[in-house]
Amino acid sequence: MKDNYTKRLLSFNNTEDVKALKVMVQVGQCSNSVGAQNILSLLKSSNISADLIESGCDGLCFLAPKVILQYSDKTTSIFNNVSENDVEMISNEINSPKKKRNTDNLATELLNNQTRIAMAQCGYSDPSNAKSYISEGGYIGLAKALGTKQDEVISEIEDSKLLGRGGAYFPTGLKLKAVRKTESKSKYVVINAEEGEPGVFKDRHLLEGVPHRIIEGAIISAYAVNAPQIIFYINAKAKLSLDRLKNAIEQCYKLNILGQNILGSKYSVEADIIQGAGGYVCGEETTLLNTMEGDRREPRIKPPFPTESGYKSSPTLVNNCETLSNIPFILTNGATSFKRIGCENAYGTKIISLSGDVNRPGVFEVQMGTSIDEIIKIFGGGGIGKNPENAVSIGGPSSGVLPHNQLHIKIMPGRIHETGIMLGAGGLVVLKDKTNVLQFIKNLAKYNADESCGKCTPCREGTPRIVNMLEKLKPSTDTAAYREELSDLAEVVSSASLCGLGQGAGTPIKSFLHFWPD
Amino acid sequence: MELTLNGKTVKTSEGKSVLDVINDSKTYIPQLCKDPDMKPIGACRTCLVEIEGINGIVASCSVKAEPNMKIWTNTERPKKLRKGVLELTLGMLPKNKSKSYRELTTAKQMHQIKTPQFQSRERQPADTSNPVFDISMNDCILCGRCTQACQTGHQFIGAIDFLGTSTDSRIGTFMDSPLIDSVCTTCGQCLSVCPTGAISIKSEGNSTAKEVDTTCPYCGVGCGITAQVDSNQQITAMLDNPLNESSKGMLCVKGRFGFKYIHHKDRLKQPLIRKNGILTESSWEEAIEYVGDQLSIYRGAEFATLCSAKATNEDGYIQQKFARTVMATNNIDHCTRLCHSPSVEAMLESLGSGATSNSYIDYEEAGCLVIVGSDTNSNHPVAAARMRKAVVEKGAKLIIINPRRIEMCDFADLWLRPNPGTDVALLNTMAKVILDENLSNETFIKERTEGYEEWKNIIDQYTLSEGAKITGIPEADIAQAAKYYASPPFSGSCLIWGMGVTQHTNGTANAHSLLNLAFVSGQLGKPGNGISPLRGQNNVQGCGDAGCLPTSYPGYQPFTESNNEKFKNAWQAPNLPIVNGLVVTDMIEEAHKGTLKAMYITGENPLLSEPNLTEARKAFMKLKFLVVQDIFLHETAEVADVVLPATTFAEKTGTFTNSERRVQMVNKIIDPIGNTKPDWEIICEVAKNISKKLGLNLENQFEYSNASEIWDEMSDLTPIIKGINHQRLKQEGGIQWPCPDTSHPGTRFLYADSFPRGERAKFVGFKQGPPAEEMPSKRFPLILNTGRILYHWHGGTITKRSEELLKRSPELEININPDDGSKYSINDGEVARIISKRGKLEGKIVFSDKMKSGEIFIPFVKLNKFAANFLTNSAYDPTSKIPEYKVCAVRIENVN
Repeated sequence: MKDNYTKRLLSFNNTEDVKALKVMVQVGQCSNSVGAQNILSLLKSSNISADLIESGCDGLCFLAPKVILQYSDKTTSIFNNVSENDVEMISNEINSPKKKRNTDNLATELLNNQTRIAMAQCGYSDPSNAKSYISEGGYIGLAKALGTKQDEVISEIEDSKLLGRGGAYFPTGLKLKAVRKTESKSKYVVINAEEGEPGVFKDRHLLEGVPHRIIEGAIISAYAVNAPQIIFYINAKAKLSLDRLKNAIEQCYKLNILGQNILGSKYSVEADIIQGAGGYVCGEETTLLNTMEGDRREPRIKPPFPTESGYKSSPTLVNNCETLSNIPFILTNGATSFKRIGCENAYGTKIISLSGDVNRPGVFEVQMGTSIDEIIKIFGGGGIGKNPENAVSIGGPSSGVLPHNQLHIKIMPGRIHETGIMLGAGGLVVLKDKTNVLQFIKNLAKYNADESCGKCTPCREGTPRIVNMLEKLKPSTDTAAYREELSDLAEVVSSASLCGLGQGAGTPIKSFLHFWPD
Repeated sequence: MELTLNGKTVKTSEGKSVLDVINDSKTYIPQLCKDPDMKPIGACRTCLVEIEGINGIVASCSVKAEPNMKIWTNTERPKKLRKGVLELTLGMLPKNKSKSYRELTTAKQMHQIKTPQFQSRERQPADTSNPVFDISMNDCILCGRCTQACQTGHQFIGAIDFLGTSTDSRIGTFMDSPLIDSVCTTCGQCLSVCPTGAISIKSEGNSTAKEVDTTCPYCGVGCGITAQVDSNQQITAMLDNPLNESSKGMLCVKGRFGFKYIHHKDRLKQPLIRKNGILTESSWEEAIEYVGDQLSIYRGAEFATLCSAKATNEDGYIQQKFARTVMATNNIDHCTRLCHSPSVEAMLESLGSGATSNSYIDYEEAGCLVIVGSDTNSNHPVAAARMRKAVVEKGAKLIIINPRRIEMCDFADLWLRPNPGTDVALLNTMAKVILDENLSNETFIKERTEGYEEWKNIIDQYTLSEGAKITGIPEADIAQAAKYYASPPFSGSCLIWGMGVTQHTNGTANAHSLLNLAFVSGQLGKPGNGISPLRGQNNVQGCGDAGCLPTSYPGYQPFTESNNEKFKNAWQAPNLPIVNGLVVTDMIEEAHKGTLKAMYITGENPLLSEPNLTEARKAFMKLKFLVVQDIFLHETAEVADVVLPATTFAEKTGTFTNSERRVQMVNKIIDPIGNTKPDWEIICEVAKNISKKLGLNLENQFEYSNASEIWDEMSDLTPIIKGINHQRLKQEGGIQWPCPDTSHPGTRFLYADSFPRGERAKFVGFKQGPPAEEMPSKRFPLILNTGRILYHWHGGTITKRSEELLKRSPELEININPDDGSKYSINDGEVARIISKRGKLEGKIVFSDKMKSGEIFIPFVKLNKFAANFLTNSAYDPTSKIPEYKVCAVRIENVN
């Protein structure tokens, strides 16, 4: 038995004029840097008879630019690292396909080894076409939600034990409940897609590849808390993300997935986009809200939490893209299915952005509980250099660096080591043998000092002092007393600062002092 | 509720922060960014504590106190972290300076920090551009209190803010320009909250020997001030008073810095008698004797008195009592004639009371504010801040109706710019829109008004397109304004107006049109709505309340038989005059004619404030005897026969009543300067002298030992203030009348159920008349608009003797549109001459697009010998007799 909303949704599919062959060029902000857009243009201007689709990237960055031919029998030919010279060959293949498919076992294996919930179909779906997303099972979660009471939608999400994927891992269900129970008529759902952290590029992949899944997650959340307005906060430099999301929102309005009485329900919701103000700290939710209101880029004190008083002082649900991208799955398949993924007390997956001195940099969605070692070996193909995987930076500038003998640690929400090292947004940067760990730590410290908004004293004054002390740290000055002083300073910055930026800014130093005692 | 602090049980109440609990228990903890009267910022991170059950160390300012919480301030971890943060803070400042950094130095000592371990860092140069105070960036710890005070904490001005990030963080202005070039109004709120002294006054006084709470002597807002006095009886500073309900801890530049006139060398210190044409110092005895001799001759219709809206209620009460009983006349008036008499006339007719119906708190709670003909930022700065709060914090709609682009326009949703003198057409057209769009409040109209049909007949003659044509305002804007007012997004709507409504020949029509708008939309008698003619002087409300009016006794009690009896008995004056006396403008005319022969003027300077000054001067010269009682030898005093030196507000006790009907204490700060006396004391002596001379047997009616006794007599006779006395005011703070008995808390807004005139308010319709008596001509092609500026009070008699204010605004500035500049070949910054049919003046030309081409603006402060009232027209509104200060025709000439 299909409910009315699902029926309505599936009715959109019928009129599709499907051509025999689909050609997907994976165009993303990063694949553009190796010429993806150029390949797309060349294919467009060559005489081919096929649906040419500009998709997002599948996360296997080391294979970009990538062109995929999908035949009517669902078999595919894959062309990796395509250059201008290959375009003619691909055109020929399109126009007169050979019997033998051009397969890529490595890519297939890498994709099969992942558990893709948020990134499902990313790179293989047409982000500019809502109907294509629907045909892949998209918006079914929303249709189901609309046929369910709001409190039950929240219970389902709460049951799934989904935790916020922006880095803080706060229970999503609790947040939804907090906003739901407020009396206010004006409520907001804000999508945090600032992604200002160096070494993290997963939200961009989601926005470029599967924007409809984020929208779906956002609408489900908005429905659940009874918010009439959704606002996407997009990193101002993520131009392609913006374009693709804008387009996706427009389509939703056309299909009545957004707007008045969506899908024929009693619920109405609008969506809007605000471009970020720039800077790492804008990803901090209260700073984000300040900049949305045109205020200075600095955090607010909590309480009140945004769930009580957020955007324009109204109750506001702020969620990361990745978090929302899990919600359609939970609604479609149920919390129990979600909890089969991952490990005890850490259900589901995490998208890892892998970069640095590694063979196969890219974006990989893996189950919670996977070890860092596995990620680097299985997906990254191991580190490079004479002594590969000398150290790994995890969780960005607010977290720390692990030495090679700690890579057995599993990725889990929150802290993964007593020094304060945490998974954060899932950025992994592999450092090879020659990399000077101290230099890397200095870079992180400098980054934090530069990005400090300047509001609170420990962060504004403390982070430059840390840089200063690190710069003076030489074999001659490296005494126990000096280290203690540095450690105390890092402790003051971490424990006394107002927001996450300062609170995390001591961790790189603490991890360095802990793991590199001499 | 109970909780534990450092192991000890303490009690506290709901809604307090953990920091409040710590402070209440007198436990020391640094709190560099938390001002006691502003919300927590959470930036300095020095109020760190440990709370059992809460992870990590938290800033106590940001945590709500909960029952049974266990708070520790003195454990190792918070102490160590606080010390660490303080060291980082101290590291911002220059080292080895013996200078005290106030709260920071205390914190340093309390945490036993000797030399901070960090080097000081590079800072920006000091901003010394403001003539009153400096901002030393070297000494600034970027706590953010000053920016908070300038913005959402208090003033909603936004001159200063945090600029830059990271180590480039700094306090600065828009575009990093010097403070003086920013929107800063020199209110000094930033100075008052700075915890380190980085913002400091240029000329600091001696150390404080005592502090006295009193009420600001400037505008009608009635801000609470706390005066600091040194051991030499010199006032060294005026601080804001956070407990004052009217000002909520705010002050403007005049209130905070404009007090030096009190000690100015020009103060009158000895009575002066004109001998051989020259004002010569005399003793009090001689002066009183002389005044008594002379005034004994001119009683009744030959005598008139002007009371002072700057003096206390008690002063006013004594003066009107003196005029009615001893001088046997009702020729009593005060400056309200020159400001709000049309409002009062209109309100008396339509409502039965001439007071503001609501309170400043209603501005903060309103969903829509309409400000008509009031440059609120300049004239009522603290009330303006409370309006900005409504706009910024709550999203109230703000509509400005003003031909000038006043500063409040920066915050407005709509700015309607009518052609001068076309307000009736505008307001009637708005009413028409309200009717057409079915936004009228039918229940209110039906149950609480009369005269609706007659009024509607007039309104129906207006159309939106015609209204737009007359006023020059786009149709859509008029319609939108009407919709916002009649149907605000939330709460109610407040109508607020000033002299731009009243100082016209059609002033009363304007005021009635405003009232009609309130009636048709039912925006009256509830929290968050109401009508407010903003009162210009500190005690203009009280002066009227005290009976300084030609038409009524104290408390607006008319000359009815029972009232006459009541006052005859109370004052033991069987022959009280019971016919209406002369109003100010009539007094001038009667003096001209020679029928009015003697005047007693207290705390007013008509030879600066009257329109058409040349003519007014002639009238005064015709008087046989003129007594001026004041604090400076101003223009009117210069022509007087006797000048009596009075004290300022700082040297006496009494009460002022502000624009929201709040009676507040004025407490003596210092002893009278020189040989001065409070106004009431002087008048009592004159009264007794005359009574004795003429055998009126009224001497005992003027025997008082203090102002409190006077108040008690007045309140006993005046029902609206019967429940108020000095004792209560001292204990409870200001009380708003009506307050019928001593257990009554006072009244926030009027007309909840009925009106003083009865059950119904009355619609009184007017058609748009000629915009002004004098319109531009070939010879005088420009329209002159006058008004006040922020840095000067009124004619400037006291403010130009307050160094700080004069420095901020030393010259008479003539605002003209740059287009007129090129049209008449006048350059920005040049001195030019402005000429009307009646006189001329010179001043510095300032190009400004605040005025439309064809209109110029001159403030009526007198600076470098020239005042705008040399030019203005004495044509007046027929009902209220207010002169048309706002419109006259002038031309501009190059001085060379």
